[in-house]
Amino acid sequence: MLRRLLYLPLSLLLLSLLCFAFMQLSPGDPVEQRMAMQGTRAMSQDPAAYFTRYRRLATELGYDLPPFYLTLSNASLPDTLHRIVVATQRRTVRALAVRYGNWPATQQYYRAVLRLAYHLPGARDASITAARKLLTHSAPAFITRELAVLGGADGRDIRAAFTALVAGASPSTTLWPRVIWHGTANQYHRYLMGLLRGELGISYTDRRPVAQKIARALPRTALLNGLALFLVYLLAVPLGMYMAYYRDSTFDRAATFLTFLGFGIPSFWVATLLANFLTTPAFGMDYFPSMGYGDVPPGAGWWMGLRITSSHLLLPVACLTYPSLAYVARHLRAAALLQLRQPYVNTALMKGMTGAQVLWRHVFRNAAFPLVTLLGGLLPALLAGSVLIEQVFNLPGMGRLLYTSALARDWPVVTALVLLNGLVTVLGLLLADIGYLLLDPRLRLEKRRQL
Amino acid sequence: MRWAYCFLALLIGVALLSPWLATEQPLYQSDSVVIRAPIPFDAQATALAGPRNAAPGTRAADGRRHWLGTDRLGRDTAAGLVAGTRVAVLVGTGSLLIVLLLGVPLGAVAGFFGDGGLRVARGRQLAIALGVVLGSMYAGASLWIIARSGGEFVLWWGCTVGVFVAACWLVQRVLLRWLPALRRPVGVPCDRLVLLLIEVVSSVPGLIVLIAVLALVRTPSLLLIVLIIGLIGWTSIARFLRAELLRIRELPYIAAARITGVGEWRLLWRHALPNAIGPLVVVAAFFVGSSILAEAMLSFLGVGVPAEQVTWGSMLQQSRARPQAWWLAVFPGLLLTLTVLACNRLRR
Repeated sequence: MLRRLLYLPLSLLLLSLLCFAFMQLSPGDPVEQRMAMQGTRAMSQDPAAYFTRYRRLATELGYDLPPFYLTLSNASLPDTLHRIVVATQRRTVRALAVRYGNWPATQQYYRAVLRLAYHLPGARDASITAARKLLTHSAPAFITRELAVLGGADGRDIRAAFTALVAGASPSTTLWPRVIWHGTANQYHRYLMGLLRGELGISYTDRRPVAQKIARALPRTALLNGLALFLVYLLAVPLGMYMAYYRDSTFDRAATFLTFLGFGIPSFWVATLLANFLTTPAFGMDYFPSMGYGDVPPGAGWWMGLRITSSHLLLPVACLTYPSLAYVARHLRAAALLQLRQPYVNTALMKGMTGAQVLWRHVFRNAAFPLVTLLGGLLPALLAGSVLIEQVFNLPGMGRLLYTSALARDWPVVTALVLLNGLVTVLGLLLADIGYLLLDPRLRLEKRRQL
Repeated sequence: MRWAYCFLALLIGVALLSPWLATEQPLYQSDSVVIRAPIPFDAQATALAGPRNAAPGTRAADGRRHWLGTDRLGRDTAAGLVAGTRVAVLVGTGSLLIVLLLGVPLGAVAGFFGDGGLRVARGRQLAIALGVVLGSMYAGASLWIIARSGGEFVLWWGCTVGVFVAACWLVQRVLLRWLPALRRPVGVPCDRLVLLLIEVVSSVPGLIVLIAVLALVRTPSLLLIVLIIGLIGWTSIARFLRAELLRIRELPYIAAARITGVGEWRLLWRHALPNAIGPLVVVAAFFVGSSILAEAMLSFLGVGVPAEQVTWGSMLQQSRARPQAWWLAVFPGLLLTLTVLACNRLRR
């Protein structure tokens, strides 16, 4: 219990690291995305101005900060490499620095190329193009070829810097390790602080805040999963208890077989079948609407509203419910069977209680504890399952949001959803532990005895 | 019970024989005799000119019969099922291998030794831990950049860790003279470390992370899916094995063997672990079922599986676009269901 409380922040911290790593590894340039949103013209129009604006925006957004608190690095790399904000240029400079092991000379070279590429007045167009190519290529053969193109006064600085770089090479510097501490001024710290303040970033696709997008999707998924969870417990409790009570009867055997099937048959296949057969006119059985949660017209009465909503939600909720229902019922049956063998059951029967009284007042109370633990695992499973169910039934919720944004490579939304699901998973486990402790008086007693 | 074993054996057989079961090339051809495969089509061969969305039993132009119909691109459903079986068996066995490699050692050590069962001198523990950490840090700082491939880096990492552990070991040998406390053996907290790892990994929302990671990679491959399913899924095996060995290590025969002078590691691998294998098979089978299901879900969503690869999930996905083609929805789903049920059946 206490251990779990300690794991909770640890797990969440690691999850946030995972999500941050996603953002860092993801292809695509966040600054470029943001510039496209702001309507900045593409690179081909005026590269120098674009480059200046790119750098300014990147600094504003904090992309010139080091990625993490500390950097594991070596002597050939400086502690200021992260200040080169354009990722392709950073890679080039890094590769050069590692190959020649001589940072001052590498820096000279980079500055010379940068000056020619963007800031040298009166340079020839061919030289400028060559310099811009040099900014993104680090292969020595490529560099010598382009240097030949550069000819004349434009390229003098670059050629001199490159000659110095090659002459002063000492590749073994790479073997000297170095740990650089950056303090709290880093990208991960910013990201983490933003998360704690509830800032999840801005979606790449439609420029809306991620929190707003999730806030729209969350209630729908909560409705879907809440209904499913309610139905699971409503139906599984009597089913499991009576299966145990009438064990080895025809009812028990049929129910055991059915729950075995229910637990094994993939719900997304059933959903596909139901959606194909019952929501499309393909086989003349178009009984249910095929998408959405249904719009209840403003003036409609509650009956009308209920009918519309339930016709939209019946199939998806059924598909979400039945595997968990089977799972919970089987567990409850096993737990109740164990309790029914206890001597206190015979005592209660001898005292004159009816079977039903014993079943519900004594056996159920003792057999119900696993139900609480199951709840912890059920919640994340339902959320994961609703990705597929929402996809099949065209329901705009969190699962569909995750799917569409993953396909659109909208990383801020994807990572936010991963974090949120992780939070639900961890909280589910924690709640199960707490609930277990609160409900079972024996555990509390044992704790007190241990202290 | 028996049908489950038979069905799984059949699946593996189909997967192994798939190059000869479903192919356009004749199996044997001479001047007078042509022997065709039972399903004379390739799974990925699109036939836009042939019968598309054809119902089961339709004949192609050259007389070959599509026993289970075709899809939107004229690909044969039966051949697709065979290809899907191969993918499912591959995913199931591959992820099982990873899970066993990770879960069995971790769970066994955690359960058998607990926190105090493995006693190592304090100085040596420190030397090993420090050596691994420092060696990994050095490899990450200096060698990661120079390494030309992942394999090369792993090799170098191993060497560095070895060198650093040896160095720390020598240092602690020297220090022993002044710090006799280092000599005292203390229990390695195996159980606590493994439990921590299990807790952290199991708080990862599996399918969600799978979708996110697979959307990240540019070239989707089945191997990656297998790897991630394995890396997320080992916790159930480790947890189970830990509980089993907690029970087994208290049994009298272990104590008897220990008294006769069997070493602790030999006791674990040769005496305790074989006793846990029976129930482990059951848990492993259940895991195989759920990993095949996860792969089907992913290819149903179209995330992370190569686009041209035909799997059960991708066929189900196709049926969503064309509900009339019931054969695309029913047959792959039925196979998937039977597989999962068979794997679950071994559970009892």
